[in-house]
Amino acid sequence: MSDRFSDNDFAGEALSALADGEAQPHEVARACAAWKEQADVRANWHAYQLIGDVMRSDDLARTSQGDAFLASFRTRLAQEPVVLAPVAANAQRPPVSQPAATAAAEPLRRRAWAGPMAVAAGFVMVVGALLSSQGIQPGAGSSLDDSLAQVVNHGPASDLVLSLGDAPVGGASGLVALSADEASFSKPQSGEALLIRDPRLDQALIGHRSSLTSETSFAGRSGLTRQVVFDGR
Amino acid sequence: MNQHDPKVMDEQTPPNEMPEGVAQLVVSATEGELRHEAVDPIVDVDAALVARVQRGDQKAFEMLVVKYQRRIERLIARMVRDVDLVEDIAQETFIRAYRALPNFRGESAFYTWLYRIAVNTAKKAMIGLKRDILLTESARSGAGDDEDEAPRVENELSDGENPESLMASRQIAETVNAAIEALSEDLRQAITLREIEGLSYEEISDLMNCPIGTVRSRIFRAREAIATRLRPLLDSRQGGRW
Repeated sequence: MSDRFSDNDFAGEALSALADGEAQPHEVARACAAWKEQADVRANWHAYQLIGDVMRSDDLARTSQGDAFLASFRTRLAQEPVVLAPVAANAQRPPVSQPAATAAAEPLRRRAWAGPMAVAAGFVMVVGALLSSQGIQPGAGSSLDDSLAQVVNHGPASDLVLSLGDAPVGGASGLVALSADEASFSKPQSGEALLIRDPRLDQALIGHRSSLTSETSFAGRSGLTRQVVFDGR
Repeated sequence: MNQHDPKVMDEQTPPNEMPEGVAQLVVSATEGELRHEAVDPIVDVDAALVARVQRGDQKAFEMLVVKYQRRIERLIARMVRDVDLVEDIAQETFIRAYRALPNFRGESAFYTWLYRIAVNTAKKAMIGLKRDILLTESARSGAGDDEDEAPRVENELSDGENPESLMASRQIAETVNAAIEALSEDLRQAITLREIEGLSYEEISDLMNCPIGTVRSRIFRAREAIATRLRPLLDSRQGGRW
């Protein structure tokens, strides 16, 4: 219905409503545009504000002249940099925080890859522990055999089996102690074995094979399991 | 429900769906009344203007300056008794507010925020003023042979008010009060409930038993009647430089 009004009607009545915080949102934009272009709108805005202030307190009439104050302020304001619109920039940018529904569904999405990741992480942790355990006692020549680790690509299903020298079965959960036959380290088929090899491994293997050769009679007994020791310190 | 009750019509009937008889009632109503449906008005005009400034509309800040200039000057005048400094400090207050406006989050009312800036600006100015006074007094003690210097410094630091501006302020107050007395009862009641009691249009509508659009129109006409008496005074004082 406001379309029926002339600009002057708008400038007056809408400005009055704007002064009271009762204008329509579109009237704010029109009032701001009119403020820039029309001196009478500026004078009316000042008059309306002055009337309200004086009605509330006579003291508020006792101030500097409005137009002189504004003119002086404009001079100073012209030297100020224009405000870069942070609000507009933020409005165009997608919000960083996710909606509550999306955030609630996030754990469910995570579950899809959590299992494989946990397996992979466990594997990396075990291998890391083994490698670090070798690093802890690098100079312990006699215990070199004890700290050997072999990762064998065990069959077509690529089951990974770790074999530890003389490790107590309960000492490292998840690790499989191999029988002496299996753990003979003897001739893993080329191309099927993945060997994490320490530089001292060859020496250890040589020593181990020699000991196996000397204990051939024992190695052939079924059920004889070679105890391996994993020193986790 | 009485459909011819203008208040009911104003709040519940869409303008394009009014029965013919009611539409005639609107057209034949007193000029300026019953013609608005105040739907979803902005609640906080300051927030709307601040948002425009934050989007780069520098001119919107001028509307805030004009709105709060008198209150800020009165606040500063109570802290700094040198009236010559009041306007400068008020200007500095608004400039600081403009600089800080991008960081204004609307967690408090704009005027509350502006008030704090004004108090801090005035305090800083007072510190500088005390330093200047000390410097001036030491200059006076060191240059006692200059007889003309002392009266001039005292004059600069006086807190006396300009008689002309005091007279003009009294005239403005008297003119506003006289113009209010001359208003019709409806207009005087509407503008008084709004400006002095601080009621919203809806509350005034309830109290005066009339549509919100009528309240809006009455307040506007009351302001215009007062401003008509006030303008000659303002123009002569300000020179019409708006």
